[in-house]
Amino acid sequence: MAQNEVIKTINGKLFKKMCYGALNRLKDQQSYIDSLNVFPVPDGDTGTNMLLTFQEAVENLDQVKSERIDKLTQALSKGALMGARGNSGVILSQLLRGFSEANKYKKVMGNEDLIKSLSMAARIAYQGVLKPVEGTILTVSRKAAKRAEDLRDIEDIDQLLEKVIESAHKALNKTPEQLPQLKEAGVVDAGGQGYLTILEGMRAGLTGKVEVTEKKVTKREVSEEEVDLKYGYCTQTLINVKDKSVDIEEIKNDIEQFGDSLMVVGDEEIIKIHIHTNHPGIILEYALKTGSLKDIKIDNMKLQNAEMREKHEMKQKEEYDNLKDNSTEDFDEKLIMNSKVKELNRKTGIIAVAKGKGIKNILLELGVDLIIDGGQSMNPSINDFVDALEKIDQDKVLILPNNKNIISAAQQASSLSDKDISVVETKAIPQAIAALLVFNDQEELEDLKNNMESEIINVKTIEITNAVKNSKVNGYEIEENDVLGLVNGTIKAVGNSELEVIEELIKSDWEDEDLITIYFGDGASEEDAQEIKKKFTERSSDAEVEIYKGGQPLYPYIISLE
Amino acid sequence: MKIGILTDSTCDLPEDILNEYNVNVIPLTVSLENKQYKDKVDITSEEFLKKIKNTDQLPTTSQPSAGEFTEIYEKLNQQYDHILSIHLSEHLSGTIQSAKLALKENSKFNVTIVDSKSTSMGLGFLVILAAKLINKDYKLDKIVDILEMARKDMVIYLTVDNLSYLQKGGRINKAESFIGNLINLKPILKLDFNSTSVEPIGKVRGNNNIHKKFMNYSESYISKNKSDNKYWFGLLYGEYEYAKEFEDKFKEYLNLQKINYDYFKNNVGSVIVSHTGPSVYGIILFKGGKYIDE
Repeated sequence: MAQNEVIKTINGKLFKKMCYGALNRLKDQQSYIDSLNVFPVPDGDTGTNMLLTFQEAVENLDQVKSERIDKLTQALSKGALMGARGNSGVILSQLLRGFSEANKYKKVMGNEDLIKSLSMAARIAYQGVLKPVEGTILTVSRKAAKRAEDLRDIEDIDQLLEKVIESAHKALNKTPEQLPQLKEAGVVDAGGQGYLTILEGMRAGLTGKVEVTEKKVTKREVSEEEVDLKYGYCTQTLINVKDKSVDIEEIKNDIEQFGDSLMVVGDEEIIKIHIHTNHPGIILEYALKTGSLKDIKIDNMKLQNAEMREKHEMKQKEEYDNLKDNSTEDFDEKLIMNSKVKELNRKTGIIAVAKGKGIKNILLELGVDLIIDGGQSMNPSINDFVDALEKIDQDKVLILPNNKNIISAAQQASSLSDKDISVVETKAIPQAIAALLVFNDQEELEDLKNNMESEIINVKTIEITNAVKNSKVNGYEIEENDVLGLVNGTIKAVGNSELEVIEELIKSDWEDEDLITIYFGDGASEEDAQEIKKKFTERSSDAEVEIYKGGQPLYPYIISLE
Repeated sequence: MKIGILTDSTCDLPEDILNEYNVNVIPLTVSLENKQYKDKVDITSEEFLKKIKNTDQLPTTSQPSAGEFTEIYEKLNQQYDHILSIHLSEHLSGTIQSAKLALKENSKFNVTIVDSKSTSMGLGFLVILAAKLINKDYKLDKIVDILEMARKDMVIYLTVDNLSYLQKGGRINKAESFIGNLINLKPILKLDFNSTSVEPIGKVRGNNNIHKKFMNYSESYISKNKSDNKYWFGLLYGEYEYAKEFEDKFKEYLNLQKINYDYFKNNVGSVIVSHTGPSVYGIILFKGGKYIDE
């Protein structure tokens, strides 16, 4: 392509290049965008969610043989819709839907079409949000589109995009003026940045300033494998377990620090471990503590060639998958079906999102039909919900998203399904537990949703986690790794220890509580939870305090007060 | 006309009240570890509680036979002109069936059977009401009418620590019995005029919450059944320690209400404990005074 050639239309090939460009740029900027999240809690990372969403969009685009713009934008939109994760992902999917609707019956895209696409994108995105907030990706997309409307006389699409990007950038820089939280934290809006990034990437793809190959997306895994020799020894062993109470999750937690590609499967009698590590000896010593060893195998992977390695790993994976099928329920599984409730032939099915073995167990006991693995910083996609909705037997379904950042994906999924679905707006696990107590299979979906949502109001959720970065929120100067105490999603205490933070919350947020439930997660122990229980009983001797092992990652404690 | 009362051993009235009103009792039978006991005759409720706690076997219960009814009707017909035979709900036991069978075979008996549609102290309250009406010289037909009306005003709420007894005894349907023992859930069970079984109507977590629920039910019973007459409230329990904390709160609560009431308490007999386990406790609400103008 000549250097100064003017591009007046975008054909299919060029459009694909633009999309690859955007995907690449998103990848580069992923962690930067993540770092713009105001809340320093490990939750709903905007960069990650937008990247994952766009990635699925591009994967779907790649499936299309046609070079027509209408077909391609449609595929992009559909892929994004299925892959959308988190609020930012859902909004991105709406932007792409608008983009696609503007290109109906179009073979190629001219400057006018592009302008219309940007406008439609912004309009559809606004419509898709219940309460649009200014100072977000919505504002950035609207202002960019508005600028584009004034640029109809620019035929050169590269030039057009340049001006649009300029405006998007300006709009983005103004977001802190519109949203006080952004100003306090000293950042621009993460979603808005994501939108800008995509525009920039598209422009780069258009002019060929980035070299993009079609297979970039799918090839990634293979190329990663080639360089993945940080750990040199593939180490495996079977353990004849001596103590039946041994917990697979615990083994995983204990040894994952020594390498990667970790797989631990088994049952009460035999456990198989596979890990790539530089210290096979440590792994075997550890395994010895659990039981007697059998079929020990250590391979030096550096001596194997890539092909052999790949074959070997495939075989391993297969073996483990087989073993998994035979072992007791696996709580890392993306979907867990509840066979116990299945027998009841209930009219209404329940889907919940959860992380952590203990919490999943409790939800299953309370009658959830199907659990989607996910939660903070692991937001399931719309597609994950669609899959779950297909798998569940019932035609009437309640969804409990259990996270504020997952609700919109659940709602989008329910609008895509033929089933009768109601999304109960649960934002935390304790809310789900309270909601499940009032479930009654005789009632209609809408009544159930109402009953459940009025139950949720009576539950206060405390979450304890560690700051993932420095930040300023709610008047708190937060440093990375500070312990944060959130009450119903708002940071209410910051400190150096979990106990200190909880004590502060007891002081500030106590309202005559009757029942306190502590779910301790990774990084916390039953003894620690007992210490916390003491603090609560000191505050009120009448309150009942219960402790459960939740096993959730990132949040050492989730506590409900009701 | 001299009217006598026969009830069954599930009525859970204290001994002194039974004596005061001359109430006759036909026992049901409980079986445990291949031994049969006549409820409250061969074994006290306390002794039975001890026994079921020390075994992993589940007790079973059986209704009195038609023959046993015949025997007792024969005896009572010699003392009274007519017998009011008031029993636990036909939905819960075959006791009334046995009684009916006895009547069918012996048409000479002067007996009227009344289904209390309840059991335990719910049945007991109806028996007290009948006795009081008899003492006030009401006519038989009138008494039966009043009992059949009054039973509609009675409601029992119960809870148990776990549902295993109710599940194994088949007294609760499967879908409803699906409840997590993992997270200390307490079911709320209800029995009233419309119940065809002891129905689970909800579940809550923790003791404080179940206490609150019981108090709420009392509150709405009182406001729905406004009356200047005496309410009859009762506390039922298997093992008292489960109910103690609640009773303190319940009494305090009742004291604060601007109403007239009588308060009864008693442990439930072996038959009921066989189906609920020792952890059962609950309340019974009834505006009994209205029917005798007390």
